[in-house]
Amino acid sequence: MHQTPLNQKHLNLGAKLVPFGGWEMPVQYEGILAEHMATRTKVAIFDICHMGEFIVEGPAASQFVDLVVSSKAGTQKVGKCKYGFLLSEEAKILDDLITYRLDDNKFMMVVNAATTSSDYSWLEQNLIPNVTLSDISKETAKLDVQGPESQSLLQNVFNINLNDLGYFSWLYINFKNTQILLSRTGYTGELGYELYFDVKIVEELWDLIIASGATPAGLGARDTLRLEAALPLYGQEVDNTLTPKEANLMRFVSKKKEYIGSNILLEMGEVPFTLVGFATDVKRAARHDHQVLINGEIVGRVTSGSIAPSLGYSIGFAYVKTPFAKPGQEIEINLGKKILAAKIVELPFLKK
Amino acid sequence: MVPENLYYTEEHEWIRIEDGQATLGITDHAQKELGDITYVELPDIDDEFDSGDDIAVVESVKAAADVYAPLSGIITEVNEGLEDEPELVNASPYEKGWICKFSDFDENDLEDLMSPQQYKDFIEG
Repeated sequence: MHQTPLNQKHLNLGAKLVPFGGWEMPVQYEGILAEHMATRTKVAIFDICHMGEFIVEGPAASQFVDLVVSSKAGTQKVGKCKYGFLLSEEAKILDDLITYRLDDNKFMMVVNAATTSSDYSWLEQNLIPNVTLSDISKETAKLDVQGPESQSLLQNVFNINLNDLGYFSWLYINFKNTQILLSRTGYTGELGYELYFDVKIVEELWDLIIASGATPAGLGARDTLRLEAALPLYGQEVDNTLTPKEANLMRFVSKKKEYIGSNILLEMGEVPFTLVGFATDVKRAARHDHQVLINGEIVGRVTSGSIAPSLGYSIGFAYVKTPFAKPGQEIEINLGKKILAAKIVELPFLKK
Repeated sequence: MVPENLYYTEEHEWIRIEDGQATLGITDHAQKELGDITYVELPDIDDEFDSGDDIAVVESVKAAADVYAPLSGIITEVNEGLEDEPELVNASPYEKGWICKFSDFDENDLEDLMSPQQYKDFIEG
């Protein structure tokens, strides 16, 4: 089991550590609900050092990124970053990722922890001339600072102004001779930032940002926050058996360029199952792998489910037979000993 | 925290016997393991159950846990306060966070339950 460089900090803060994607990660410190609400109303900090970072560099870097990423990440401007997928030849989702354009001929890919090594092998196999690929995950730390007060906190800590930094844009800032890449991105549905920097200063920055008012938050809150914002989680809503079409994520797929998987994906007819969001009017929650029923017939399965702390009722994602995949459709969820009434709803669940 | 004068189970429940009536809840260890409790499904009054039946559900942000009857009996009272404040199970597992009361159990079956010391050893073991 891998540990992040902040493992001892987490233990000192009384965190409960759990395995996640091959890493020992804090699921909570004080409690998931308090950490969730701190992110929605103030500012929280998350240790995301488990995620992987690759550098793609060389005269053909832009061409390579456009070949392997489903969105138009290769031709975006320097200073921007973009969400997308790595797809197999069959258009199955090998991973979801964010690609940063660092320079004309240099990109950074940020990938999931559990898929870091398989992604790297796959990228290596598809490498084209005049591009080099390197895995900088070990020497790169990542901290997410999220919440309505994240901007003012970071402005104070680093003595910078972030007013002009747009969504999915990034800039470099300096902290004691170390360069930090800071992007206005996140996985919570709140105003927030992600910071990438040399792992050597991670303990110092963690302490400094907490001392400046951020609440440490774990993967438990990260999960309820991303669920309310209807952001998919690799391994739950998407994986290497599914395509972006089934996952209802075609907005992150370019129709104007060719990339690995594009031919299959764009010629694909109706898919049997489609990802939807559902809501209940109770606090009892559906969970991963529960059956979805309509009139007693199994029409799908739940991928994620939980109480939505900011909404006060339970919500979730499910794959359902495509003809039923429309907002307003009433469904039932088989909890095993009980049936839970729910309804397919428009996403995101939490509208800001 | 494992108070004296209670009986305990391997399912991390406690039972208090007073005036021929039993009160049931989950232990401090159990509430800590579950984390923030968001929902408690209570049994109905007059429900009759056997030892080992699931009689309630305690749900946290991350998971749902069945509460099993440690004895046979009949439900006499439920903690309706948990409907609006399930977090009482976290804040006060042995007092305000009790789940239900029941009668008609066999006192001899209490011998099968754990003493406070046995439960302490069980969770530390």
